[in-house]
Amino acid sequence: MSIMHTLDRDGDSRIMWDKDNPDEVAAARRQFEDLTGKGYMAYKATGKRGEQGERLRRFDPEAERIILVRQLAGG
Amino acid sequence: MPFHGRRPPTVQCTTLPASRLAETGATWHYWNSTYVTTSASTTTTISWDGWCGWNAAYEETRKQRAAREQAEQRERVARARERHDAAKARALALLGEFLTPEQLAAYRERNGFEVRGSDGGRYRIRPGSQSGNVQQLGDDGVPVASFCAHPPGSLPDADAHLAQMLALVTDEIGFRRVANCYAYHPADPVARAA
Repeated sequence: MSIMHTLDRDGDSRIMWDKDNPDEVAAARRQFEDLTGKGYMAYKATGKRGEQGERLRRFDPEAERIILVRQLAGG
Repeated sequence: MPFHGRRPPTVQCTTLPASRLAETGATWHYWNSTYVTTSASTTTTISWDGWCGWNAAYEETRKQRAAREQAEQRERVARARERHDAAKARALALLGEFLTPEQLAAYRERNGFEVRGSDGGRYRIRPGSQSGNVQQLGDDGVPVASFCAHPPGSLPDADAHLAQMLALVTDEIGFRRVANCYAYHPADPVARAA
């Protein structure tokens, strides 16, 4: 089971999907494309540690974990 | 002043039969419905609508309104604090899933955890703030500069630190391009304190 975290002021909201379930994959893809279209950054984390992460520009249903967060701005 | 300066209503009075005085609530109910007094020469009937009205309608005084609004404000603050604490705990739990036990301990107990940027740079992400909390470390581990870049939207600190870490390990150059940078002087107390 894969999971997508969208970081927000309440911590994070989550969508889970089974890559073998087309409906769940479609729902996760919709969320991904909706938020990345609004400027969110997407990262794919392989395993548990972020040092194995990479930027995602397209939804990957095979990803174990995806993090969506608004783009960093200089403070 | 029960009638707030208005003309008091008329009162109709009647004598309550003694047999009914023992009934529970009878007196109060009777007092709230009608009240009639009769003398030898005249019968005075006055409708005690005011008392019924007083019990039916309730007008809040200014003092009572202020107290109510203060209580509502305290409740709103308490709910907001609960929501904030829950978000903070949730964010810390998520960040913890991305850190080694040593990194998590360093984040919680010391001055932050270290990550290696995608371009080879060495960084420390410090807790307690989202601004200027990313330090670039020299080869000897001494901070040489700090960077300020964080996601907007009032995220909990741990979420912002996760975002900073992911940005550094996937696109260090991109992170440095958007972040504001403050280079430490060797004599800077921050650099010396590290």
